Amino acid sequence: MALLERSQWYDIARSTEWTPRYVTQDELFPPELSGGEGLPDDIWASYDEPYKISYREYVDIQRQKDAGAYSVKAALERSDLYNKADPGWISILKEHYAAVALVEYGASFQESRFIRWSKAPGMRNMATFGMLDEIRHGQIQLFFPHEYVNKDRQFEWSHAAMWSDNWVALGARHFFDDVMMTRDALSTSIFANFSFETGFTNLQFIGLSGDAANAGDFTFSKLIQSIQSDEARHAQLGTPLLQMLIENGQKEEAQKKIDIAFWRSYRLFTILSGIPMDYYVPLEVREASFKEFMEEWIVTQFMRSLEDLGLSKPWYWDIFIRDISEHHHGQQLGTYSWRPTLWWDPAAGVSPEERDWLEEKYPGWNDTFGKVWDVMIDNFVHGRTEKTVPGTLPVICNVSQLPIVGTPSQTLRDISLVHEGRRYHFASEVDKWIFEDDPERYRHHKNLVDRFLGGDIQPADLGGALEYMGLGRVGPGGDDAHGFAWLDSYRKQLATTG
Amino acid sequence: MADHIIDPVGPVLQSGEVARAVADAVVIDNEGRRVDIRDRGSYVRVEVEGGECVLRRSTIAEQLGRPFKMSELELNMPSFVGRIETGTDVFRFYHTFEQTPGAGHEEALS
Amino acid sequence: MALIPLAAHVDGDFVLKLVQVDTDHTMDEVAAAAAVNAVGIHVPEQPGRTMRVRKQGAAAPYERTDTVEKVGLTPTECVEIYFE
Repeated sequence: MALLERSQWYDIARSTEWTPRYVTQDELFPPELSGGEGLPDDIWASYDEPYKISYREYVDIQRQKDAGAYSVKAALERSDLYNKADPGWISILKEHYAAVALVEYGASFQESRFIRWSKAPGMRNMATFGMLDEIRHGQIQLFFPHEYVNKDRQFEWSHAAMWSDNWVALGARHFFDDVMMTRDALSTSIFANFSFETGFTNLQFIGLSGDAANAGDFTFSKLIQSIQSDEARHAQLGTPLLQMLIENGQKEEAQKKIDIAFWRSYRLFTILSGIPMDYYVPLEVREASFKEFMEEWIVTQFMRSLEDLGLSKPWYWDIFIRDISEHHHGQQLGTYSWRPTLWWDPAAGVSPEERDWLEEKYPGWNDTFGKVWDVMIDNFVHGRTEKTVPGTLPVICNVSQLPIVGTPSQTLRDISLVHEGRRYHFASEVDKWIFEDDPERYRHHKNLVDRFLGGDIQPADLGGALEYMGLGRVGPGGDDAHGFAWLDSYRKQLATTG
Repeated sequence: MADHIIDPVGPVLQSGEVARAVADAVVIDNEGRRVDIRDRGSYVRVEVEGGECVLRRSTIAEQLGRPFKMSELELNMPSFVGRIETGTDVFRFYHTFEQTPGAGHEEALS
Repeated sequence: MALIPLAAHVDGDFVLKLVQVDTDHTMDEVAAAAAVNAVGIHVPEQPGRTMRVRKQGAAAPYERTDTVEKVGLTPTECVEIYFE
């Protein structure tokens, strides 16, 4: 029996609209859950998803994707990557899985909410596939690290981290709760599908795949590209919504949603992609710097998609362009200094050869961030290990939840405001703008320092903070990925000169 | 830097057999337009100048030497540049706006 | 007297750090408390030079003997500490 072409039946199959008789439209699609207020009622049926697929095609393709990823894993399991790979690479796997796997389940709830609350039938249909995609991403990114749990208990964080109050987990949860879990369906799609998925996930899931292949980790390289091939499809959910807003006089609202989501995504990815790409990936296999990947995927590709819709660069573009050369360097110094607070073993990435690379990619690095490393290296080579971990907490941003860092003697400064008697701190002017735009959304949250000062963390010292974050309790905390072997060349220098 | 491709669109593909076939098919199906294939190690950027890239099932099948379904493209396509139209026999990547030379961010693509 | 947390920006550091001081503490004591987790940790020691405290962005430092209470710092406000 001949099958009809998809285009011959697709419109009928996705047309699931009906007129409710027992409830009102607003009861069926409450505005706070559905969004799209001010748009004409008949617009929703015109939503036309750009990336179409039938269920038959979906099941066939997804089966092949899984078969591909799992067969690469099975074929390479005996190659003993764990013992052969550079420890810096292993740290990337630990950081990635724990920061990502559980969040993928969250994303399946996001898509589920579209299925129920989106007023556009085409979107409800495509979100069904998106929900199944995200369940796959949660499962596969828990299964793959499970291979390593018996080799290294830090891999247990793959499942545990997001349930803990580790500071990185607090930052990730605050971000995903904001952009993915607590807004109406239309806004969520613009925040999460358009800004986060068509923009930033490319950076981690495609950019890093090249480094993975170069590092010999074909399993991870295949896995993350396989995941991103789902994203490329369901990320398209947001585009028709943006067009609807723009065509109905809500361009400013659309732009603001993107501006908020873009900045928040970017700052989270300085930790998730920025630090690994410029410090953990072994020098000899680095495909490009974080800044170069940002220029390829965000500055060029994502901005073109914005311009194509008639939207503009975010208002803080100049701040952003400067920031991609500096913020993640501060976060690397912070994460490495407070390494006991991590669930992975950070690589320092500042051997003399690596510093040359950093200076080439980020001119001026040695005279700024490098000077801080000089002090740390001096302490290490002289055996003053107790001076290499600060005995207090950093001040933390009330939006990004990340430490407030800057280029030494240049851009480090506090940006704060007092709202209803409470002082809030921000890691940038943009974070402050996000807060001021909707204080009710952000004012109640307590960051790690607020909890510390409020007495939630006992004893009130670094030890108490580690306990609170689950380090040594939920799983082991971090220490230098290479057992400080990178200091050997500095020790030799000292022996020669001293 | 006058050599930069203007307003490129097209698929980003996992390196391999399908990526090579699609790259060849893009050249055939977009005759008269400049096509750049940029090898980035684990992925390949296929870029067609002028804001439109057409990709035909039959051409990919010819290049592969085996039957090909357009939905299979998704197996090897973690990203793409431009908007997308997904038919049974043809995929199209496109921009709706006119990009003038030098107005974009070509410098980052070098 | 009472404990008060401040955000300390020691010149040359890459990150703001929390420092707990007392409202009775002088600015010299505030500088010393901030130095514990910055000088010799992330910022080079500079023997023989005096550390001064100023409000973020201010041109002039506070008097060295003024107390936290006297200069009117509020909880988690940011102070800059620099070598004179």
